[in-house]
Amino acid sequence: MRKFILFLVLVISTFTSPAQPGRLITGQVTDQELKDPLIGVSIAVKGTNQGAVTDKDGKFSLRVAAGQNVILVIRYVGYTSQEINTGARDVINVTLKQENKSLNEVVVVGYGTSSKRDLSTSVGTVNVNDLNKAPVRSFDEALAGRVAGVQVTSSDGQPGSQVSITVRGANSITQDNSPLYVIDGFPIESADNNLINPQEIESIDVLKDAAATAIYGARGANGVIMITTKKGKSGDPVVSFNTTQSFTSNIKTMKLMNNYEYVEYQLERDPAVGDAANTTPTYYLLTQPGLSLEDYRNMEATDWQSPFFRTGGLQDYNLAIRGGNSQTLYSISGSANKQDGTIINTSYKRYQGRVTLDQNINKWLKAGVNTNYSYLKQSGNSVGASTNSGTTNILYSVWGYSPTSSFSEDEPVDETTASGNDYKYNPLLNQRNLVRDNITNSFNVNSYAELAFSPSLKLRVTGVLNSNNVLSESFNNSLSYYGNPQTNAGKTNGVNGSTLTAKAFNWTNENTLTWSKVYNKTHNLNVLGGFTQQGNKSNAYGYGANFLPNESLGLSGLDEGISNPANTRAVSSEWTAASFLGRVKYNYRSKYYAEVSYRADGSSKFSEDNHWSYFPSASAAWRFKAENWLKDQHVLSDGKLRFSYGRTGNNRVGDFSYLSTTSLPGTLSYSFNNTYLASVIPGYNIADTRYYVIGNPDLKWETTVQYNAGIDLSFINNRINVTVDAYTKTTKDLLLNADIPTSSGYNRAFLNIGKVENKGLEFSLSSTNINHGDFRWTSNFNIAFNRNKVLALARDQQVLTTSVRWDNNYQNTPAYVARVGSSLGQMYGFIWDGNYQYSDFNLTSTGTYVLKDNVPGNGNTRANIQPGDIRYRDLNGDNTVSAADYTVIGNGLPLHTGGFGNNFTYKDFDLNLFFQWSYGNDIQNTNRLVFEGNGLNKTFLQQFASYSDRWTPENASAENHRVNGFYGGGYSSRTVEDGSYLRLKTVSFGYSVPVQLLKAVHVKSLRVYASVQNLFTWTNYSGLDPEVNSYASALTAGFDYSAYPRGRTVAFGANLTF
Amino acid sequence: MRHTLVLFLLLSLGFTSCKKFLNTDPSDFLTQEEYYNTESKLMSALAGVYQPLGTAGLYGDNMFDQLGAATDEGFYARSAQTTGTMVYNFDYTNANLADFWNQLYIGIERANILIKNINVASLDERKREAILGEVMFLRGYYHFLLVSNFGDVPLKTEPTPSVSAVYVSRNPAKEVYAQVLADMEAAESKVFTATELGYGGRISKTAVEGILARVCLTMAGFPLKDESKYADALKWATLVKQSGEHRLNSSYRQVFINVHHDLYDVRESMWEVENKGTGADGYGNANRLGNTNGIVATADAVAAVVGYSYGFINTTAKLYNLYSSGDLRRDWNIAPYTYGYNTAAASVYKNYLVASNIYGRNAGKWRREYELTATKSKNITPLNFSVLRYSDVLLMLAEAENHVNGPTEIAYDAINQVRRRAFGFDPATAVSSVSVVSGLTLSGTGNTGYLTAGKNNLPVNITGGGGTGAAGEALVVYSATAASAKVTVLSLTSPGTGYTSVPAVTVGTAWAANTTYTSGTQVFSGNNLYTVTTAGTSTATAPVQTAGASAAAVTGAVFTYAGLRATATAVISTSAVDLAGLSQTSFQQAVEDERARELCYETQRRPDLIRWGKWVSTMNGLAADMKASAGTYAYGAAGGANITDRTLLYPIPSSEVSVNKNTTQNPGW
Repeated sequence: MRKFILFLVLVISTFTSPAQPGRLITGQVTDQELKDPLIGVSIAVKGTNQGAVTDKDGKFSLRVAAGQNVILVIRYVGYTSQEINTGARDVINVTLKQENKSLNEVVVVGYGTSSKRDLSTSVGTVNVNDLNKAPVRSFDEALAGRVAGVQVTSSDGQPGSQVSITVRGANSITQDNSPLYVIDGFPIESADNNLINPQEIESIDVLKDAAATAIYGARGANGVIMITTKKGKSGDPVVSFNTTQSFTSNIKTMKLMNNYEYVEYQLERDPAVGDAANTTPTYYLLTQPGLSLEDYRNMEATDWQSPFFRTGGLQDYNLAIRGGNSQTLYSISGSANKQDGTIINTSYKRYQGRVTLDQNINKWLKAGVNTNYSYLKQSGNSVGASTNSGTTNILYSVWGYSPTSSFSEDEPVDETTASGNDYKYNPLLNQRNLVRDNITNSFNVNSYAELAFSPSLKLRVTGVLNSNNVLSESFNNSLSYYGNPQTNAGKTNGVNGSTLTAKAFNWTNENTLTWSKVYNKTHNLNVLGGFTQQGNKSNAYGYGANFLPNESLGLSGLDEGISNPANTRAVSSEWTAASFLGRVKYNYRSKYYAEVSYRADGSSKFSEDNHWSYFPSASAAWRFKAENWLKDQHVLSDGKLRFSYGRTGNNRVGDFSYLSTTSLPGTLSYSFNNTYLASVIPGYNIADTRYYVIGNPDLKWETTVQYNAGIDLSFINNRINVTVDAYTKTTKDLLLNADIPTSSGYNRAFLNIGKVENKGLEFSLSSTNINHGDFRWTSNFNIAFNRNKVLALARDQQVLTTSVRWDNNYQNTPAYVARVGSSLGQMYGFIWDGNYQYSDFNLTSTGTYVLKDNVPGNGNTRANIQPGDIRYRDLNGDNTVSAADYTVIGNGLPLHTGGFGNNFTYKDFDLNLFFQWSYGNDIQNTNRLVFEGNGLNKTFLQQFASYSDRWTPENASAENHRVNGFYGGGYSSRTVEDGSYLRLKTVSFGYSVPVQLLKAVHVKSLRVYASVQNLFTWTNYSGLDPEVNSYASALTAGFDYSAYPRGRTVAFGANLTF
Repeated sequence: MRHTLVLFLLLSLGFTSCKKFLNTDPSDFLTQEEYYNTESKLMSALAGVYQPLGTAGLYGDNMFDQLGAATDEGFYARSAQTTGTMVYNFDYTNANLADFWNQLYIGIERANILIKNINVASLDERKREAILGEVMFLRGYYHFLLVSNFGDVPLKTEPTPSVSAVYVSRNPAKEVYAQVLADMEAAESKVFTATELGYGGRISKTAVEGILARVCLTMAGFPLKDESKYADALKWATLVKQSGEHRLNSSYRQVFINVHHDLYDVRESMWEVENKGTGADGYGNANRLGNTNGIVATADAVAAVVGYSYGFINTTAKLYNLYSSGDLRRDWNIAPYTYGYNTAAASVYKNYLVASNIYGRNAGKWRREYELTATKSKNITPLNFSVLRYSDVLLMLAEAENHVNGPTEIAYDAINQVRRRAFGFDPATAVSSVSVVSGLTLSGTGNTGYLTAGKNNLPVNITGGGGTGAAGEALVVYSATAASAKVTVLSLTSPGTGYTSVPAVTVGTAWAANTTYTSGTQVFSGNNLYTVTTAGTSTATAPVQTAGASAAAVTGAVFTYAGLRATATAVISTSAVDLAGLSQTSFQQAVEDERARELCYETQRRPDLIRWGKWVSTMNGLAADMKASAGTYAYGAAGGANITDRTLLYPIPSSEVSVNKNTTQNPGW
């Protein structure tokens, strides 16, 4: 890094002053087709800051130094730029060709490419240049807001945490809704996007409507993300080197009670005097140290947050050599990337390399290969992870630790912690000592051969091999919570550890035949036919042991411990798929377009009778701008109407979900005569042993039918481009992991049952706002609205409630509800009605407050309800609150999401601003349940500072209930917050060093930049970060508990090519 | 031409193998039959049929905890618990009920699959028959729990064939009972005897007979009221008795201590749900016997020694008062103490409850202090649950005999065997009555100068009065008002026998000559209490001074005057042991009370009250009584108050009704 700055300084210091006046160059600029003069065209002398602009007649004049070979750069928006070497000429007349850059842009679609102009389907394109201005490790981290209708949510901000991408709303209720990824033509259902170096991505296109995705048939219903990696380009070898050095700091910490407030709260919570045997707050905080409450006023609270967070960062190095000639194209690239999270001991590393080679063997044969190897290592305890109790999440300890305990990095359990039912543990010690590593080795070979039988008939055969190997290591030494002898977990298991190796081997072969011909220069026909097959074998083997005698050996000492069958795992499986596909594209004079496609998919995941399914689609477009009556309309530069219909599928079920399984797991043993005997368990489901699953031989594909209508408009020489799409899609025969009557002896089966509808509107706009001389300002904006509706659930089922297992007290409490007729992801619980006030009570002669008969209770015993207690609304009028009063209290799905990007360039400077938002979604902020009123009712638990303002007789208007005034029984709207946010996601400022300055040092180009990620967020959300989804699924959107907050990243970098 | 050929070859290669290509076989599991094709796998399959019994849904927790909390024997001791089955404030969506129902049907399904595959393996036919018998019994037993708790339920005697055949309707209770009897009767002739098995974890012939007696008594009572079944119950219970394989353990408490010590006592404990380990071994034990329903031990220091217990179930005064003086079962079933922790001495002591505090007493049948596990788990215990004990069979025999033939000698013998053991006598020998120490009264005078350091429990000696065996223990606690510690509670640990007059009582240790004393020990001499301040061996001269220290030269150890010793008096009373001369009706009442005394907290009370037709009235009466007289425990009336006629049956859980329109809901739910 330092070397680069030095280099930069050198380069700038050699900057020379402008040339002397001499020669006068004049000329006129006209449109090549229309021959009209062009006004306001920028004429610049290359390598200088000299320039001119054409006048109303399209004329310009420019004085340059005499005797020079001047190179003029002529730029005009909507036209192709030109560079002209004047030679000796003083009069330069230029004709500019209208460029239709955006419309001629090539878009990657299924089994081929298309120009944007000729698309009759809905495809969104990611501006990869802008995307790469965000200093991120993986492209999906920067994808949110880039394409209308592509919703990206990540569970939290931990390096490598799960990112879920949903295209046009969730179809499936219980199954995976992530799109199909097609990476260099290779379809993969559950891609680890970390495997791809974003710097190597050439393009990302998102196929959204069914006509675009139906060519992927049974796997296309969730949308398809087409990723193409960079290949070699003909010409001299280009060596490029990019580096980013960034620093990430935590944006926000929670404001916690100070010592006085904490002690006051604890004394109020438990006023008993206590003694050494019964350490009440009074004893522990006052009697024992000999202090009074007042003494705590000026005592500094121990800060557990600051040492837990740190400045993280990303170091990224990319080196690539790309080049080739007419016969051979090659590309060799590699990268090293290391990211440290903003929480201690969390990191992510990637080492990756790619080689691509394309070779023309002879006139009719061409072949190529694209291989990639990636090594990923994610380290560190997941902040969101817990084991049954919400008190095992690490942020619980960070926030909940007593502020009066002196700071210690090595004392495992604070003496106030009742470790029997409160799993608080020194968060620093725990975070430092837990080993949670996931190591991925992935190798991918992608090869093809293309035979040209004739100029119009081509056969393409591809073969892909992919080997993926994930090793998960977990180790709990005696300093970590799970292995410390002072904790329950440590007592039960001792020092313990486990490993799991999951391997997947995947191969694909695709054979397509394309016949493309233009008849009479008017009829364009493109016919595709093909056959593909794919197979996957996977296995996972794991082993774990407890009571390891030699913890210094780490995982190598596993063999010395006591084997734990719960961590012994051995599973293997396979699936195969085969498809026939066909597509006919036709257009007449690039004016009328029609396209039909058909795919037959066979999958081993279903019984023989249901192997095959069929997915047709059709689309049509009318490019009305090409009509004669619009030819002379200059404001409108292009216009096209699109309609499409298609059926797509989803086969995301287990490889053998159609069969009933029987297993003999040691983990469900029974003992006879005090000797364990493993049980034969029919319907055993290793993935979630709460469920006993019966096979469904009738299982088949889930089918989505989608209609799309869209319009593409361009105005003023394509300065403004607008795309609007409206769609409606209905998914039926949902692959629902459905509840079945439990009298069967099972409780789950995959059924093709239920129906979901998604309707939406997407609007994208890109514009060149200013293009004047050296200054250029372009914008792009997109917004998407999606409305989701459940049309049917499992047989006879009207309501599906889902609980979130963040704490065992809440594992059966419904947090979300899906009702027939409403959307997925609705939060469920009581309506919070503030607190009980004195006016709700009768004062008895003995001085106690008794709730008036007509005032509904909150679920607690009426006699126990006191002024200041939390109050919920009694909806059914039975004068108390129970599960019957649950109602919808929030919606985890946004009303609209979108992004707004701006690029400014001035001379050699460029500035990119990217905003991204989500509006109308709610967050169930469960952190407040625990830390704003102590909903889990733990002793000596620190609270958020906001709880200092709570109901007391003197402060009866406070929103928070009194101390001990919480009563649960369900989630409530008290902790539901508006999760809308607008985020200035990326700010990137760059400087491209002028070319002639670089020539001397044999550098082709150099851009240096500084950028900031997550610079500012506008939100009313009180938690650390509104971009949160702790328990992400279609049913449980927007839940926040102990989530890893996103940091603010400041990055510096350079892109260098030789 | 060459190109076309290549193309043709490629395409044909693709098409031909397609069908075969898509037919994949699972590599991770076998076909169902292959899990039943050897003897050892068949035993594993048998284990799989038993396995639901030990889960949290059945005898692992639910039945004695959430579902078993509200009876007239006990209540759920958490005032904040205002919803749930523990307080009978729930609806058909209740998770505990769903778990109960689900596990029973999981067991039935596994039984049906095993029965279907019983002949796949080759093995000794006697063993095959026994396995078949056990499985048929369990299928019957699971159905019995279903029909007696839910009324009409789907009757399943075949494995669920496919997911499309799961939408079944309910069969009338009578049909279900008929199948229960058929399954169990078939099992009776197939299974091994208790002696052959040697342990109670598998179903023996007499266990089948005992459960058959239970089923028949249930059928004879409400709601079926099939009176003819009393004779059948009598027949089955008599068969158990005549088998000669069973007898009562001479000590009531030992029955339960054995469970903690992982010892089988197949003579008394005829069928046990087996549990093993603490869950840490990974084999899936989830049992919470003694953990949810033991003597409360939640403080870290206490739990570390005794084993964690939530103490969810407290007793009722009704049960407590059912015991007459000298009945040893009372202070075992109902813990007279909780645990305290003495920080200075770093030891756990018994925090005896004052005599008037009845509702504050935990159910004490299972006490983790007896658990032998090296590292006690917080939430999982290895204790086996006795589903059928011989005393239950004897009481069923007495009840059935009384119904069929009146209070005959056979009936009296059966009930009196249980009673004699309860008072500490040989069950086989007639005992008309017993005179015992029934109480200790602490004197209001003296009782100063006690130290708590290391000695919160002092011995109470009871001597004279013509009897033997009575003993007690005193609780010493610090009192802020007296600015010192004093004896606060005296508790009888054994009532003794044969007391004809009031015996003498001393609290603490008397000074003795020629005894080695360590520093800090407290002894009394005369009316004075002394603390040993210098260790040593006492001489023959007792300390007598009423202030200051004794001279070491005179008394050996130095005894420093501490205060006045606590004194107490005993109360004696006489209780009948053998019952005699009762009418048929009062004999029935005696059996009902005896069942509460003998079998409390063993999941029998609710079904008993229901079959006697007394469930709603008893529970409503209990609630009224608790509201009026339970003081701070009046909240415990919630369960009884919420019980109405609809609670005679549980609602069909939502896991069934909300996804199966062919089923119906029970009335009132």
